[in-house]
Amino acid sequence: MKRSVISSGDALRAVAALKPRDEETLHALVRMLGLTLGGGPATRAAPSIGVWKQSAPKSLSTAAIQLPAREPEQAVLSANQAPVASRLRHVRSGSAAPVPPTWLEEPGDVLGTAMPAGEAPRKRALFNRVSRRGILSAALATLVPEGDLDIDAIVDIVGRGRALDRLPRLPAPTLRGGAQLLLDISAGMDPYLEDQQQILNALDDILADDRLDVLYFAGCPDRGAGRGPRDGWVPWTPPPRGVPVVVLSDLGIGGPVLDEDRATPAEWLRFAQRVQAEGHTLVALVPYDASRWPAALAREMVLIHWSERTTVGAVRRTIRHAWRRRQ
Amino acid sequence: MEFTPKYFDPARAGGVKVDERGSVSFRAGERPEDVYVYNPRTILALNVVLATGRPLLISGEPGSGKSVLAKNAAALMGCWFYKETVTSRTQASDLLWTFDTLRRLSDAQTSGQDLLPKKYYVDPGTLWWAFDPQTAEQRGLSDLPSAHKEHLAIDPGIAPQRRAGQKAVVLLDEIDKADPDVPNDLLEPLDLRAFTVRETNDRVAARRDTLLILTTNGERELPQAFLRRCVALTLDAPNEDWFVAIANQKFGSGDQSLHREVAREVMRHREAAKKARLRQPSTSEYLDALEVCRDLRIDTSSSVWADVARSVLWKNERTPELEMMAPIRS
Repeated sequence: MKRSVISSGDALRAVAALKPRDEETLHALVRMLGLTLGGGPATRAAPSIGVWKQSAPKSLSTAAIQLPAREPEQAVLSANQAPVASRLRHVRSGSAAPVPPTWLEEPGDVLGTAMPAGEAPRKRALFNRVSRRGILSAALATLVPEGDLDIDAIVDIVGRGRALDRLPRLPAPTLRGGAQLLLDISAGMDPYLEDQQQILNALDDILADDRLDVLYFAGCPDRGAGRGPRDGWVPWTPPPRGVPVVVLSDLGIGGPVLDEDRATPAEWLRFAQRVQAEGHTLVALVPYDASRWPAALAREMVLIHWSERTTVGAVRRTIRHAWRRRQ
Repeated sequence: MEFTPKYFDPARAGGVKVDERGSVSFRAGERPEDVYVYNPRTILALNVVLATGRPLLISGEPGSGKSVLAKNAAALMGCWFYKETVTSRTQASDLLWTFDTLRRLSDAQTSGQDLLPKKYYVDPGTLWWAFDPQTAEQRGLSDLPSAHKEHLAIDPGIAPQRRAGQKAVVLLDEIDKADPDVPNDLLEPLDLRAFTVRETNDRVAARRDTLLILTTNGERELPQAFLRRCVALTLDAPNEDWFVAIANQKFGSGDQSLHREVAREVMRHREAAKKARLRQPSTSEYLDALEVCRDLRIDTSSSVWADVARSVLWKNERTPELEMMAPIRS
C-alpha cells in the first residue's frame, strides 16, 4: 500500500496505541510527527482530527542542529565560518552590512510620489521558491562518468574489435565536489542583495558544511576576492581541481556607467579562460537575459539567466551541453 | 512523560531495568556489547515509529548516541540489525541492489562456459536483506539451482541474540552525506516497501516488518517530501551524567568516582574541541579512556593522563590550547 506524508491519521494511531497520560507527552508525540496541536494546549488526550495541522516545515539542519551549537561562537568566527545568513555583513570595508539603496526601500522617492501607508509590496524572488533548490542543484552539479552504461560507446569499442579495458558510463550529476561561490558586491548588484542572500541560504542547505566556500569580489574576481572586508582581499585563487566555480554577478552589464567597480567583458573573458584552464566549470547566474550577455562570454562559461522564468530542465540542458562541449 | 510503551519497553526486554530517570541497567551476564541510556523521549519516539510504521530520523550532536541507539534497540527487540553508512557517493539504488556488470563481463571472457543468467550478478542491498532475506540470499525470486549454491549471497545482518526475531531494524547512518536526490529516490521503495530490480525485473516486496532508522548530522537540509514521512527525534547533547550512566551500564557502578572524573574531563575536552571547531570526543572515546584508566590503574590526576587524553580522546590530532588540557584537580 502506498503511503504518503505523515498526517493526522498517524497521530491518531500513535495516540490510540500509546495512550499519553499528560500534555507534555501528547505534545512531544505530535511534534515528533511534524504536527502541532491547534488551538493552544490540548485539553484532551485524543483530540479530534480537526485540531491537527501540519507544523511549519521541519528544518532539521538549521533549527535543530546547527544553531544551538554555533550561536555562542559567532563572535570569533571568520566570515566564511559564520552562518550563511550573516556572511553578507562581513563584506564591504568600513561598513557593516551592505545596505540596500534607499530607492529600493522607498520607491516613492524615485517616482516622486508618496507611497500609501500599509503593507509593503512583497518582493518576488528571482528564482521561484519552489524550483530554487532544483535549479541550484542542477547548476552546481558536476557531471561524473558514473551513470548508466554507455551502450553506444561499448558497441563502438566492441565493434572495432578492441578490448574493453574500462566500462564507459554516461554522465551522472553529483554535488559531492561542493562549490566555490563568488559574490559580486559592486553597485550593479545592489538591487539583487536579497536575492544573493537567498541563494547563499539555499546553497548552505544543499551542500555539505565543508563543501561551500564563499568569496566576495567587486567587478571581476581577478581584481581581488576574499572572505572578509575588502581591504583584505587578494587575487582570486582557484578551489581544488574539479570544484565548480559559481558567480552571482551582472558581469558588468548593469550598474552605474562610471562606477569604477564595473568590469569589462574582456576582463570576464580572461577570468573565464583562466578558470577553465585550471580545470573548473564556471557557472554564472546573471540577472539579465541572454540578449544582453556578451557573446564571447557565453562561449567560455555557463551562463544562466537568474530569473523567475528559468526552469530546472533548462538549466540541466545548459549544463549537459557545456559538459559535452568540453569532452 | 507518561504513556503506555506498547511496542518498545526496555524495562520488559529481558534482563533490562529502567530507573525513574529512564536509565536502563542489565542483569549480570546479560549486558550487551553496546550500551545505551534510554530517556523517556527516546522510548516514546521508538514507540511512535512502531505504532505508525514510519522511519525514525535522528539528529543530534556527534557523540549523542544516534547510531548506537538503532543497534541497541534492535538487540532489545530481538530484531535482525542491518547498517549502511551513507557517503557522498552512495546512490539510492545501492541500498536496494547493485549489479556487477564487470564480473559478468569477466566471467564471459575467462570462464569458457556459457554466460550465467543476470541474476547471478545481482548483489542485494541493505534494504533488500531487511525486507526479504530469502529472496536476497537467492539473488532474486526463483531459487538458484542446487549445483550453483556457491553463488548464494551472504546475509550481512547481525542476528538477534536474545530471541529469534523475524523483524529487522535498518540503520542508514548519516543520510545527510548523500547527494540531495538520494532521500527523494528512496521515497518510493520506503513508501511501497517494495522495488523492482531493473536488470532482472524481479519485484521484491517486504515480507517482514522493518523499522528504518536514519541519522543526520545536519550537514545539509533534507528534502521536505522526505522529512514529512519521518518521525523526528533530536537527541540531547551528551553531558556528564549521561556519560556516567553509560559507564555504569558497561562497567557496573563500582568505580563511580573514576567514571565521574573521566566524564568531567571528556566534557572539558568537548568544550575545547567545539571552540576550536574540531571533532568532539564522543561516547566511544570516553569508554576507551575509562578502559585505559582501569587497565593501567590510573586516574585523571596521574602524570600520564595528558598523554592518554591526547591519544584516546584526540587520536593525536592537533590539540587546542594544550595548557587547558591539564586535568582538573577537584
